Amino acid sequence: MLPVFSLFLAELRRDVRTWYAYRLQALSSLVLWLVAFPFMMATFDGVAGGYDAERQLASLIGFLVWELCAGVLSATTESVTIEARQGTLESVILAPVPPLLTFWLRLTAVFARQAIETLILGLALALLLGLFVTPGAAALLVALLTLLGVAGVGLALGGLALVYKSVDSVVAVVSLLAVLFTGALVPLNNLGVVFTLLKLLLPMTWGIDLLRQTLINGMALSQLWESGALPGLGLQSAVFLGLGIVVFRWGLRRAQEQGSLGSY
Amino acid sequence: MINLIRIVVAEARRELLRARAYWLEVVADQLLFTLGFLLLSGLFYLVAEGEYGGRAQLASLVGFVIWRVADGCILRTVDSLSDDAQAGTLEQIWLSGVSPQLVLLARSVAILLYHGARGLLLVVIIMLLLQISPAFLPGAAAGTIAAGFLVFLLTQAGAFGAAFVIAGLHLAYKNVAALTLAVSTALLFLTGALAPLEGAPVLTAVSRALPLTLGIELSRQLAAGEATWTQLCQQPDFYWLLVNTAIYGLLGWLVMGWGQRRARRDGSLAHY
Repeated sequence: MLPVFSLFLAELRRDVRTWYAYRLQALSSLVLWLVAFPFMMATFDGVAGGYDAERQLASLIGFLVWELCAGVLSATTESVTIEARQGTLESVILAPVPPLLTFWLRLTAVFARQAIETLILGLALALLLGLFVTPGAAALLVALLTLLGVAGVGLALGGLALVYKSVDSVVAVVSLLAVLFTGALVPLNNLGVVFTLLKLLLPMTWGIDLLRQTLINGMALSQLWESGALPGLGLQSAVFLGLGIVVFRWGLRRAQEQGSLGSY
Repeated sequence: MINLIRIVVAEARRELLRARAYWLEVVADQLLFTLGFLLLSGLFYLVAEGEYGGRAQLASLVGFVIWRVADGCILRTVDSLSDDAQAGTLEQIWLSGVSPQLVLLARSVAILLYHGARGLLLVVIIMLLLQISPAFLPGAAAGTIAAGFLVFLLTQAGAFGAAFVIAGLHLAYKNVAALTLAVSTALLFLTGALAPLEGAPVLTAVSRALPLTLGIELSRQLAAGEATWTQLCQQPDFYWLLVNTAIYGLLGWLVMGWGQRRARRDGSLAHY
């Protein structure tokens, strides 16, 4: 049995140290969103001729989920790219720890750090805009399931990065488009069939919608279960996660066959 | 003056050669911003629950294009100095027979011409795609376009002032170029470029102190036929725009001069 917890702590320490080295960048990003989000709400207010607190809360929930998920989505790709560029990727693969476990623990470490950042940003924005909400067990479960789905897609992109190396620009575009197509900023529920398709095909859309239902409409865990939404989200996340693991393993095998782990 | 024109032509040629060398990046960039505006229009349509018509789209387009030109100019101004520093050619600007201020001014004009042309292309394509057109008053089209051009130049001059503040800091401290993207992107939201910030008085007041806001507001009025050339001169906002541009221009000039003196004193012009 590998000391998984101590490995996780090592990865967390590494992530926090990297964050600290680039703390100015991280803090400026935090400040940027603290300023830009209220302006974005003012822009929506100007466009819609009124954007009330409930709609602002819906936007804030979606935005925070996107902010959290974007970090998780790009974590594996960034990690693979940096290691490949520095020439240390082979060492990670040659280490006595299974590569999938190493990258999974990195993903978890990124999630833990990013969750704190998102929580601080969320609290500050909620205070600034005068929006208040108390997340219950249902919301936390939905958020966790959504993150598992996103982590799966992140692993799949990481697998592609192992083979094709420079895919971080693709991830950046995917993250940016996700703001619009997952309904992160504005609920897409009025789009009918298109929304259903987006909900089923994209990893964040369903989760964001369910989070809004629990946090704004007060839907309980039992109601989410009975409506089939929670089992549906769980199944979707399992599929994305399974797919992510398969693609990551394929990418690793392919890169080992090509002997391209050490090249960038 | 002849010197300035000569350097502008040389710098414009350099910009075009660079665009030709990286043509794929230029095409992708142009496509990205065209699609970006169309996606934002779709988002606003959802936010406004269908009440986002031609007039509102025109207001968004005016703001978006003015921001995009300024964004391109700010990024390129700082990047050009950063690229020169990286290539080891930055010192040559200061060692050449022409004053560095003149070279930077000529470079700014060339960058504005290049990004202005790309902005114009963006406007034409989006207007054709969305079937929107400016609502100039009958018989006042030429005057309104001239007024719009003047407002556009003043607005972009203010943006160049902001760019030179960052460039000056970059000369002094290096690696400040990373801030440029954050600043220029933030301007999209902070200046009300996508939609007027009427519902938030505090944010509006903050926004009006930034480089692009007043120019965008005046350009919107001109494009919607709410103001003409003569009416423009009677508007207090026009004079505030002049003050705003003068302040940012002066600030840019001062910070750039300071950064240049400091880099020369420390002998760090060639450092990257």
